Amino acid sequence: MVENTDKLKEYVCPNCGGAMVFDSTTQNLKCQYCDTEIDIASYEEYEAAGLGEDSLNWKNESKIDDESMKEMYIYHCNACGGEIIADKTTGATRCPFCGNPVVMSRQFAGDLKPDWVLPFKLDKEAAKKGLLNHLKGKKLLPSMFEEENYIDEIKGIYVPYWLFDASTSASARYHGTRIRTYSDANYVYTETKHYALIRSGTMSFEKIPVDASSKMEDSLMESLEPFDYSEMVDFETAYLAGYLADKYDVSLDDSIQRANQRLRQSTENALARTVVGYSSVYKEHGSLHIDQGQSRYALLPIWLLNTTYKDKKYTFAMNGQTGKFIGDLPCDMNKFWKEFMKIAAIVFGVIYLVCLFALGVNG
Amino acid sequence: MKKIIFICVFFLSIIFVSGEERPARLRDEANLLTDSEQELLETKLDEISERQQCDVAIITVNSTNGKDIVDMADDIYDYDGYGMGPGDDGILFLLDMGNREWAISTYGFAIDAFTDVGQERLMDRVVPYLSSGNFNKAFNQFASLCDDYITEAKNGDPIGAYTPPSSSGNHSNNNSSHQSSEPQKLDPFSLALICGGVSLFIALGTVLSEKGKLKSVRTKSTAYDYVSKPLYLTRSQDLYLYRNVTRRAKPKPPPSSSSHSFSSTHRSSSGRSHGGSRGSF
Repeated sequence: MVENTDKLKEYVCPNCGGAMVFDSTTQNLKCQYCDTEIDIASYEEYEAAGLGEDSLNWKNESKIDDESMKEMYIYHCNACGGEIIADKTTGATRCPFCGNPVVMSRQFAGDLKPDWVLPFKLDKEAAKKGLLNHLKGKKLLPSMFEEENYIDEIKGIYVPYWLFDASTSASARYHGTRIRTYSDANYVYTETKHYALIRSGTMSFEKIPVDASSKMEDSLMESLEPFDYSEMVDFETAYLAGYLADKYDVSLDDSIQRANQRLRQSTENALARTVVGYSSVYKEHGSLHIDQGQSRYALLPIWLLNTTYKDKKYTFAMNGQTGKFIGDLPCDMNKFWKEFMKIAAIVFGVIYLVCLFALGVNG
Repeated sequence: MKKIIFICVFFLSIIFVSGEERPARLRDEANLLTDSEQELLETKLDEISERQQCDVAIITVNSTNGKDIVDMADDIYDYDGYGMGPGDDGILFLLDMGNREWAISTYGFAIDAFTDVGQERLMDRVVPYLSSGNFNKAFNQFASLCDDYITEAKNGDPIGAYTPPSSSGNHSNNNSSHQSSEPQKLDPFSLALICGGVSLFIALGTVLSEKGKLKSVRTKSTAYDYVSKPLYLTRSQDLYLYRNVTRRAKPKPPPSSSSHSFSSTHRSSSGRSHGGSRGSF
């Protein structure tokens, strides 16, 4: 572990000195103690005026290299002095002793500064509600989910993403057939005409998101898409106050592979859809060229909920902006078979009686 | 040598048996056959006719002189004295090269032997040869088929005739009522078995779809949400390469109603009722 002399950034209430957090409802910083609200731009100005200089002393730190990234960091809470042990990617958390929201602003400084942040719009309550909705109408859920306290934790996390811009140009040759049948007195003729179908086209994409945190399951994060980027703002650490945040630990080059897969699939599908009017079509040859445009770094808001069922961990996630809720749920196999027997019995009874009745009347 | 003697004896016997002067069973007025072909075909027609006691005659003309081909066939049959035995049984095939039409006229026993459907099937096997100009083959085929048809009819089973489902029982009434109540005879045990199978299937489908609802995490393989400029086609060409044609024979429609399974007849100018059919090639 590395003793991190890095000063933690906390947002101190100008009114009472308490710690402030980002409030998703008002999109302002809000004091947890005296309910004072201040908008982020004003706070930054207020802090720059000299009142918050202590928290900006990160400049002399040595640059974090790959080796040290593997280790844990120890921070000291500004409020209680307690040790905050955080892993290499943690960018915002709460002090485990006093609950003070802290931001490791150094994690997002200089080259590591994200271009954008999409502030949370939905709060913890919305996440709980989202979960209830998600569980609704699912008959095979284990009974555990009917109880109240099955959720291990609910975390609002700013997940790091790479957003890729790209344009693609693709060419393909398809083989298509058209089938026509006609007949005379004695024979039915089937005429098959064969065609070579040549298609080339270009397409552009903007801000394809690729999860840049190795802690997050890619499929989970992709299921949460899409985000409405129009609400994205220039990055300020203040948005992270009160939430968890990670910095990226999947490099741009590794992430690009995933973006390329999606680009390829999308372009090929779009091109293939231009082939119409044929009885059968298959692709004979195709080529794709991807021109990588800009790639940018953004933090996107996600609520994560964890629970454990039969020693297996289940993770649910909610898009912190749109409220889209996803997460695979465990299946209670007892319920599965009970339900199966129940339906089978009912259906059997109904069909059997109907058959007997119908045939009885017939006779 | 032996063969010639045999043929001579055969002919003599025919003349002796028939006893009277008969119209020729082959009249190739359109001159479609060579002399040797004519000779062989006529021999064949005579042999079949005598053996079956039913005239099988083939006549070709270059023109019907404005007459309808069916009428012409009937008239030739009636006025030229075709038909054998007391029923004047016989079938006459008339081919008109002028209009490329053909007609069949049947009379007596041949009306029943050659049903409408039977004639249709018969001509389906002859017309292709006519169309391709292979008249010798066509006529020989016709003669052989006629032979088969007459034989079948004599066995009580004319080709193309409607044969009611054979009832083995004595009481056909009983039989039919048995058939309609057959499903009722399904015993409760097998009914339960079938219902059980169906309900298990339905139940499994339902619970599996319930189980499917529990899954919501899926990888995205495309990026349509992020398209800033949709596909712009820079080239779009459909090049015709080649074609191939396959053909298969049309399935013959089974006799759909009893009206097709019988021999329809019409009245000829002489007032007699003929069976027959017509077509072009």
